[in-house]
Amino acid sequence: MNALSDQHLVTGVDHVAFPTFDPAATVRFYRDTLGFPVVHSICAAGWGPDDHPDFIHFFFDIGNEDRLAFFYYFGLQKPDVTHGKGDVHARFDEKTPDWFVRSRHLALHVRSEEHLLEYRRRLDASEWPVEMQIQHETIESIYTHDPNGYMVEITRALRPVTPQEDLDANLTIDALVDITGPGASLDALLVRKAELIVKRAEKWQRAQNAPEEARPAEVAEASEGPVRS
Amino acid sequence: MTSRLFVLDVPENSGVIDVARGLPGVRVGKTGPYFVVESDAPISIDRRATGMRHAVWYSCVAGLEGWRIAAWNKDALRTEPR
Repeated sequence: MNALSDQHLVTGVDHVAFPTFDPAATVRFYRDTLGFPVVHSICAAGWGPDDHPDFIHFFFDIGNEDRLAFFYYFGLQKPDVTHGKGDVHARFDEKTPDWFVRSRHLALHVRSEEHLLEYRRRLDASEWPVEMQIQHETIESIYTHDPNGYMVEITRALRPVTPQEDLDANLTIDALVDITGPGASLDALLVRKAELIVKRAEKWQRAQNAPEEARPAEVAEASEGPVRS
Repeated sequence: MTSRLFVLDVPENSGVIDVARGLPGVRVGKTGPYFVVESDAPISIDRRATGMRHAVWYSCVAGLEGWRIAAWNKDALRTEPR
C-alpha cells in the first residue's frame, strides 16, 4: 500500500496501433477526409532482429491527446482479402457471422449531433461513405470501414450516464464474474444479478442520499469494485 | 409463489414499467434505483404497448427472482416459474 495504491491513475489512450498495407489510403482517410492531424512518426531501419522489415510508425491525433497509430512495413506481403471477411490483420471465413467480425472496432467520441453530422458529411463526400447511422439506447453512432478494413464508429451520447448506471454496470460485471464458465447463460447472470441487487441496491441508494461528506466510505461499500464517482 | 423481475430506473425503461403497472395482479415497487415488478403469476408484457425500441427492449431486464424468461422477442416478454 502507498498513497497511490487505490487511485485510478491512467488518463486515456496513449495510442492504439494497427498495421496497414496501404499507407496512402490510410492518410487519405484519417488526415484528408476526417481531418485528424498527423502528430508523430518514426522511420525505422528494422528493429533489431534480421527478419524485421524497415517500417514507418505514424500517428494521428484523435482528440483528448489520444492517438491512433499505424505500422507500415516495407516489402511485407498484404494478406489476400479477396475472399472471406475481416480486415488486413484479422481474417475470417465466409461463414463467420458479421456481428462477430464487427465486434472488435474503434469508436471515437464527439460531443454533439452537429459534430457527428459533420463527420458524416466528410465521410459521405469521400471514398468511404457512412454505412450505417444508428441510434441505440443512449447513443447515436455512424459507422464505416477504413481502407484497411477496420471498422470505425463515431458516437455521441444522447444523455449523460447516470450514477445508477454505474452501479448497474458493476452489479452486472460482478454477476458475470460469478457465473462465468461452461454453460454460462444470460439466465444465470440475471438470477445472480437479482441476488446482488437485493444485497446492494438499497445500501447504494442510502449512500447516494447521504450528505456529501458521508458518501465515500458507503459508496465504496456498495460495490466490490471501483465505481466512477 | 411471488416472483420478481428487476428493471433499472432510467428514462429509457419507463415504458416497460408503465405497462407492468397496468397488469392485473402485478405490483411495482422500488429497491434502490431498481423497479421491482412482482406478481404471484407469470407476467407477459407487450413490447408495442411499451413503445420501446429493440435495443432498449432487449436490455431492460436487470434481474430475475423466481421466474425464468419463457419468451423475449419483438412482440413480448413473458416469464414462467423457475
